[in-house]
Amino acid sequence: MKTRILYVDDEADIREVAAMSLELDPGFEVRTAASGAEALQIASEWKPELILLDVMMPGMDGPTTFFHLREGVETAAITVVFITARTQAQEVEGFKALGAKGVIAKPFDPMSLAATVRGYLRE
Amino acid sequence: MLTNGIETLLLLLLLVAAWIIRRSMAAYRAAAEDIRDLSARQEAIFDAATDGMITHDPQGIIESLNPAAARMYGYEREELVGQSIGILFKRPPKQEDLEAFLSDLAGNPGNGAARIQEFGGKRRDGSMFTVDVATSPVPLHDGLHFIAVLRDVTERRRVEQMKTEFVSTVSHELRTPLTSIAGSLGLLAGGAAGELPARAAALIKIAHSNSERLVRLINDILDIEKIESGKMKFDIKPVPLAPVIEQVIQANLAYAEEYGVSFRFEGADETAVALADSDRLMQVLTNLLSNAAKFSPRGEEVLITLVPGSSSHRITVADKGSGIPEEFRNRIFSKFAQADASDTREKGGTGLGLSIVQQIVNGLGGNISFESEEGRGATFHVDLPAAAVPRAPAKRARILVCQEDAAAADEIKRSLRQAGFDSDVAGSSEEVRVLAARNAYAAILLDLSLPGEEAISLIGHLRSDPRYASAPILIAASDGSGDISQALAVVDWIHKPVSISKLVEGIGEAVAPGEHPCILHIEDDPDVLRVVASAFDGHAHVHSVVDITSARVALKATHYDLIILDLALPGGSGLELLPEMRREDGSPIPVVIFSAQDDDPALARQVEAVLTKSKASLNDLVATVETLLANPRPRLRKEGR
Repeated sequence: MKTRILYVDDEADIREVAAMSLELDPGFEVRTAASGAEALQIASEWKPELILLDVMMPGMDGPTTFFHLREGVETAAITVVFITARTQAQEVEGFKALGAKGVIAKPFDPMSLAATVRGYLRE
Repeated sequence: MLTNGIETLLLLLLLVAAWIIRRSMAAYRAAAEDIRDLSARQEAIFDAATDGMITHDPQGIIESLNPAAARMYGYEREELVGQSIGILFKRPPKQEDLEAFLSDLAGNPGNGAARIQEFGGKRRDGSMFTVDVATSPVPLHDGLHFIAVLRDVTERRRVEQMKTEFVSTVSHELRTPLTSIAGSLGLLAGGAAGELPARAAALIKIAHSNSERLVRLINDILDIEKIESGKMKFDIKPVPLAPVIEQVIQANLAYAEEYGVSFRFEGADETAVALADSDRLMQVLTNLLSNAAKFSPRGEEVLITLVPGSSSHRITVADKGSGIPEEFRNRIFSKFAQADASDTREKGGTGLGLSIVQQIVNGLGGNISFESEEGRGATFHVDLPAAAVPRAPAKRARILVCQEDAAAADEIKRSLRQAGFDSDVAGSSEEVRVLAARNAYAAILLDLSLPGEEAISLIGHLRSDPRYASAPILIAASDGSGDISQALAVVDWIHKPVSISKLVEGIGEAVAPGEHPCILHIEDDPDVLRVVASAFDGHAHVHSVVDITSARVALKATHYDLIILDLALPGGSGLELLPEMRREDGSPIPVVIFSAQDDDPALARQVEAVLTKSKASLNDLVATVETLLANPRPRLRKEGR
């Protein structure tokens, strides 16, 4: 049974790089979403184990999407990790205070992204 | 004749009066003109100023305003005179709040500088703008007034807002394509798309490393912007430095390996805790370490040392590279400065690293400096403010009190408890032995009213117990009327004759190496003096005296850590000196007492008799205990003997 990971980002190229990077781990099954709205839809049907959520997106941004995920019965328990450009200690604390498992900095290292996600799943 | 004289006199007086009046009128006119000039000047300033100025009373009623203020708010001057300044606010304050603010301002005018605040202003036509207001109290002879100087800062705020948005937009806009570029190249270089032909692999490697360089450059530029605009917030906490240094070294091992450079860390000290932001500190150290590795020749090592200090701790990074050339020394921390232009491409740096490092270190309240000689490498020092390390609270010390009289015992217990000590009371020397064996005491208080020889052998017994070999043992005497004498700190009470050489051997071995106590030996037998002195040679400084008089002189002249006293001295008894064996602060100097065996039963009585002559209070006693516990003393008996 493969672990389901959902990657959410409005940039198509980044989604492709991220998917390829996550699929380096043979135990992952990866889907992507181009917006917060799409993410909510896929999440409630497909029920991923972990969602990687970009912070700055047009329309519904990362934190708002996260808020809606928490509201949905099927999606409330999914682990969420934010992806954002450069992280300072306070910003990280802020996201964690919202309930996120962690924060990954952009640009991320594509060769270690899968391992980082494994780490979050184990916690 | 007379009338002529009087007329002349009157005429003279009239002329003088007229002259005086003319002069004072001229002065008055001059003063009036000065006032008019001053007034005209100030009015000119008031009218011509581009900043708005409004004067008002303590209730906020406008008394006057300049044309600039009227223009700013879109009113005619006359329309505002007599109105409350509240109508000029986007959110008019409550009257009591306004009056409270003004009276507070009047009470605390501040050192000349007016209080500046930013408000939302409202114009006559209802439109809003942002205004900086500086209000000052003006006490005049007709009462208290206020002047408010106003500046329209809408434009300035708008530009600042744009800049902040621009920077974060640029940050996002630059990083987005970079994520894809660096990501794709990273996957290719990492072999995720399969094995690449050699030439392709080399090209991908170039592209990948440069995309990473671009990422670093963007991060650095944004950091600099954040620091310089004051928006970098440091999360300052006590940070133990050694683990942070080790972490940074670990993280940079791979990087250093590429240059064939190794790291060595000296001075790992767990007491070195600084006040800093650990993330930013790691950024600083990473920069210094990677610079050092980059500029070191292959095979060399970079030495990192941590030197804790009292008010600040110093971290030093030293490399054996080519050093920093003279001309570059004062530019080293400036932006985009590298020793020479060619280095930029060669070394792959952004040119911003040291500038950021300096700004961060300064922002943390620290200091960065360096030493370098061309061709001999460079050494960078980072000083960080030390955090006060909380001392672990001391365990409550337990004291054993030997006191037959129950009431006296209670009083001693109470005094000790007030000083923070717990205590147990033993009513006899037997009980002392039992309790001392069962529990561990920090100090023992013996009352000499114990039957004769018991006190002395008790001390001997206690001292042979390794737990009490160096514990403070105090003897005091109570004379039955409830008063207590000053306490004497007895290191040991030894019976003569004893094999002198054996005793000296024991003493000589037991004095801790490195400590050089100053010992006063009061003994009339010159052979004993000689033997003891030579036994201590190198361990302690021994001052030998043969009688009471010279002992007294010595005690007054020098501070001793220990006294060896033979009770049987010519011309009197060594006992007489007992009360004088005190330091300046009143605490007793520890004593080793020698006495002849067959005198014993009477001896304790004698000692007691002497002690009771020196009255002290319970507080003194407790204070003595405290002092002795706080200051470790030289041990005299080796453990187990």
